[in-house]
Amino acid sequence: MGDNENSQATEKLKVGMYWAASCGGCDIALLEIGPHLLDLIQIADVVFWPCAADFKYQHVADYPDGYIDVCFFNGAIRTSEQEELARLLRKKSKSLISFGECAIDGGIPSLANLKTVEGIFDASYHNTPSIDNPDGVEPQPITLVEQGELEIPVFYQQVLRLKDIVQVDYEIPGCPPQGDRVWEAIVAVTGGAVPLTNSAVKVACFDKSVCDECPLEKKLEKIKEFKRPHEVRPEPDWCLLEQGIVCMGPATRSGCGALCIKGGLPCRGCYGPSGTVEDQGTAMVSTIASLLDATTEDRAKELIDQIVDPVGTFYRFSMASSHMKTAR
Amino acid sequence: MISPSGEVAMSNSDAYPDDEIRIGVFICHCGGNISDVVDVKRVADEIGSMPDVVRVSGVFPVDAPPTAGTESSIERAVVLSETEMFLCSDPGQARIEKRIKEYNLNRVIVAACSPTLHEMTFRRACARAGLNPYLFQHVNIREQVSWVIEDKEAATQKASRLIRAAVDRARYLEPLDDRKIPIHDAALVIGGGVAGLKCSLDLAQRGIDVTLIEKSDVLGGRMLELGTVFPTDEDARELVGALVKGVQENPKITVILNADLKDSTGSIGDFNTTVVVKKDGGEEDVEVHSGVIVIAVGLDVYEPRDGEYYYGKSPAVIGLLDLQKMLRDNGKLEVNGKPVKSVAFLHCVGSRQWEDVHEPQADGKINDYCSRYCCTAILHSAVEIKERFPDVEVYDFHEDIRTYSRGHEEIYTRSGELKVKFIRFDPHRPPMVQKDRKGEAALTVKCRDRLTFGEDLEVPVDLVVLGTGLVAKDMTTLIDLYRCSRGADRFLLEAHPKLRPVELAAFGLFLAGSVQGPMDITETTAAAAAAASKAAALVSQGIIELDPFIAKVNEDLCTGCKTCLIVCPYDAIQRDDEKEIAVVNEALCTGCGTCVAVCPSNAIQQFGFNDDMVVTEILALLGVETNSRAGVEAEEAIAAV
Ligand SMILES: Cc1cc2nc3c(=O)[nH]c(=O)nc-3n(C[C@H](O)[C@H](O)[C@H](O)COP(=O)(O)OP(=O)(O)OC[C@H]3O[C@@H](n4cnc5c(N)ncnc54)[C@H](O)[C@@H]3O)c2cc1C
Ligand code: SF4
Ligand code: SF4
Ligand code: SF4
Repeated sequence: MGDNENSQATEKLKVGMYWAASCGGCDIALLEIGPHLLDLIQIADVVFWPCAADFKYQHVADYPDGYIDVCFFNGAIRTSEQEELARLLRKKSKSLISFGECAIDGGIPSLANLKTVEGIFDASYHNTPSIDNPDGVEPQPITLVEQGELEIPVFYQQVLRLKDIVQVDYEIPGCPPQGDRVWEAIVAVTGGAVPLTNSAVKVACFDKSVCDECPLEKKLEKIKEFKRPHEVRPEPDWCLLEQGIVCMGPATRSGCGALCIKGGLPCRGCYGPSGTVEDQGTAMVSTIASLLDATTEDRAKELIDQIVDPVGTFYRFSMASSHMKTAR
Repeated sequence: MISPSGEVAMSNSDAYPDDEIRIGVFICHCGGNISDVVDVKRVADEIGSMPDVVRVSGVFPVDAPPTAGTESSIERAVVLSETEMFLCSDPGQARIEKRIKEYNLNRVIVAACSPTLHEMTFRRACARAGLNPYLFQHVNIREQVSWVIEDKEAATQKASRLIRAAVDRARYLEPLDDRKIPIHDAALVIGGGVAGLKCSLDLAQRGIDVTLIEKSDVLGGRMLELGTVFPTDEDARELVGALVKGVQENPKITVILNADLKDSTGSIGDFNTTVVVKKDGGEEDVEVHSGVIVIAVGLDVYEPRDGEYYYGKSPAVIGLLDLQKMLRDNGKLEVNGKPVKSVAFLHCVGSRQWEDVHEPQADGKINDYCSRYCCTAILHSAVEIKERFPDVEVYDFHEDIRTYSRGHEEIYTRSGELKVKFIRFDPHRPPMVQKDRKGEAALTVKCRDRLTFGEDLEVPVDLVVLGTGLVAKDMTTLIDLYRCSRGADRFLLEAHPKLRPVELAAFGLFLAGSVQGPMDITETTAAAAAAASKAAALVSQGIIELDPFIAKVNEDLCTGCKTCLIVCPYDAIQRDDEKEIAVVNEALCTGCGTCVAVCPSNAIQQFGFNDDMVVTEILALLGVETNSRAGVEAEEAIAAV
């Protein structure tokens, strides 16, 4: 990391963190590095972090290009504001890192891609029983008021990933990413172990799927019935999927340490697709389909019908990376 | 760089570095078969002017829009796009070879007829010019375009789109080598009926050592139970006896009786089969090592259910096999010691069943197929009865008469001459067999006759012979061991009835005789001879070359989740317990691609069909520019507001 070495000797690294379409959990996850937060402050100055400190967009705009060494970007892109900030932060940062599933694969917000904007607006502003909107008002990008024009961000047709907008250097998966892993990644990027620029390389995780870290064993048995986690007490030591509990492990990137499974729950898929897989949902569908204890179509259908909300289950964190794209 | 339609601007092959992808596209007129409909010159021009693709990084370019510094090298370039009257002709092939050398081509695309016809032709042409044959890509613009599309414009566009997709795919082609697998010089034949016997003899005659295993304590199979057989009127036991003698006397054939399959490992060229042999009250395991295996376990005769056509309720209702036993060795035609004066034959018992008429079999399915031997077997027996017992009345209740084979129609004609009485029933109202209440005979057959005016007949008879059909054996162990596929009729399926008859889909395994469906002796021996010659041809090659399109596990991505183990139809994947990953057995893999599709980690790729190729091809067919998808979408999404 040649260009970094000199600057490091003289001045501290500059880091930033931004939230786009996200729940705020990633900001908290950054805090989860715990005592290492003090280490981070030792080596770095925070120059932008809307969640924690009072920086204005104008501050960032005033920075020279490439001023921020490492910028963590969490959240997906749903509005023009988020796109603008993505482009701005790209320009101002040496290394732009997608932090968490929303930025990488769309995350939970991208489940909204299953609906059209019209559908979303209908639900949000018209058809939900608790809504009182007799004039049928919808937010408009530009509203004329006495004092002039009021502008709010434009709501896009679909949720996009950060890498759909700008070039991304690294991706730290997870919803949210695990603290220990995040610290390792920070050390690697800030310490010069890896170059600041790269092409969306995944760090703070492994290439293999969660099954690799999972302590449970397969018996090579096929699925005879699907059950939801609250309906059964799973047999210990036996692969949950084979027991009929939908576990996203086979289609999910590892790095979490199989936390949920060790806690007695199936993997929800929060690290996104593993290896070179793009579309986590289809990967899971093909796995599940091949494990059904069914030799006829009717039986297969009967089993599949037992899975509650398949799309929401298989794409819970990665709809924006699905080949299905968006509702039209 | 290009001047399409045959003219080439650059001729100095040294000008191109080897690591650049240089594609030659050849488009065939096929006389006028293609060019009468597809404007091949225009297609050549369009392909010739396809822009070169700029290298982008990442597994799928979608993930990473081009970044500064990686744009320099050209990923693929069509350096040549030309047409030819008949590419498969000698001059056509010579032209491809010449161009490969002239322009240092490292990918060749031919757009012509179906790859089934000439893919090998062009692969060989590439090989002759020093190009790895798997750097060749075939596009079918005849069967899939000019022969099926009348509209010339649409056909031309489709041809162009298909070739574009091939061009995009071609950049991911890799040089591959055929798999070379040595074949152990011996065969295992399972089943000692006429099929197994004939097959063993034919194999031995070609100098191959044969082990023939038979489940029962005697060789001969079903034929041991028959009398004289159609169409030659020979004695079944004499016929098969000659084969048995030949087998027993042949030093190259080892016969193991009372033997059943227990286990089998290995694959083409190197099968190791464990056989359990019953001996002096005990059992013993015997190992058989062979390069090929022929399955000839035959089939079963349909056993009518209790009460079906009064079967089981009266000794005067019997099956065809019982009649054979009765008639053979000059047997008498009698029931309980009383001579029979009238006989009724019923066709299609246990065959050609209808959902709404017949009860399903144990597996829930009806037997809707035709058993093929019974019509002739019935009429053959009818003729035999008429000839030996001229006073006996013979009635034939049929739905149809299917004496389709050579020499069979004559038996039908002869039965008419001998005054066998034919009654045709409606399959939805099959005849009813009852006790004869008038006491004229043992039984009555009630039926509405479709050959007259729909007359309701009641025919008193002393004997009813059910034309029992043929059903597949319980082959659970066999199917498990060899991963055979079965048809809906439960018989084993060939890899392809026309292109790969008598072969199972897994290599080195063959089917002989009635194990693959109802057959008479003539058909059985023909199939057995075919299986023998295919098996012998394979063994005598010593080494076989299999195409390289097999699956391979990426150790860095495989988690050892075993999903692929469960789905591989050929048991070609094992788990390496030490490394905790899956491993594909190269000899067993047929390249079916199932595991590739299911692996949730993309840890298995198939040579010749990796994700890059398939995805790129699909995107190109859909008209999506591969390296700008993300950007385009972002813009679309934004513009849409
Ligand atoms: C009533 C009747 C009349 C017929 N009449 C005629 C006729 O007139 N003319 C004609 O051409 N055809 C006739 N056929 C058809 C003829 O019988 C068959 O075409 C022929 O017998 C099929 O031979 P195969 O070797 O395929 O099977 P089979 O003769 O059934 O032989 C299979 C052999 O495999 C053995 N086997 C089974 N399982 C195993 C195992 N797991 N391991 C080892 N060995 C095993 C069996 O014991 C048997 O010996 C008739 C059939 C029937 C039922
Ligand atoms: S061969 Fe004749 S009797 Fe046998 S199933 Fe076919 S049609 Fe029926
Ligand atoms: S399905 Fe894929 S990850 Fe699982 S064992 Fe097979 S190759 Fe490995
Ligand atoms: S491609 Fe995969 S599933 Fe198919 S035979 Fe080969 S290993 Fe088995």
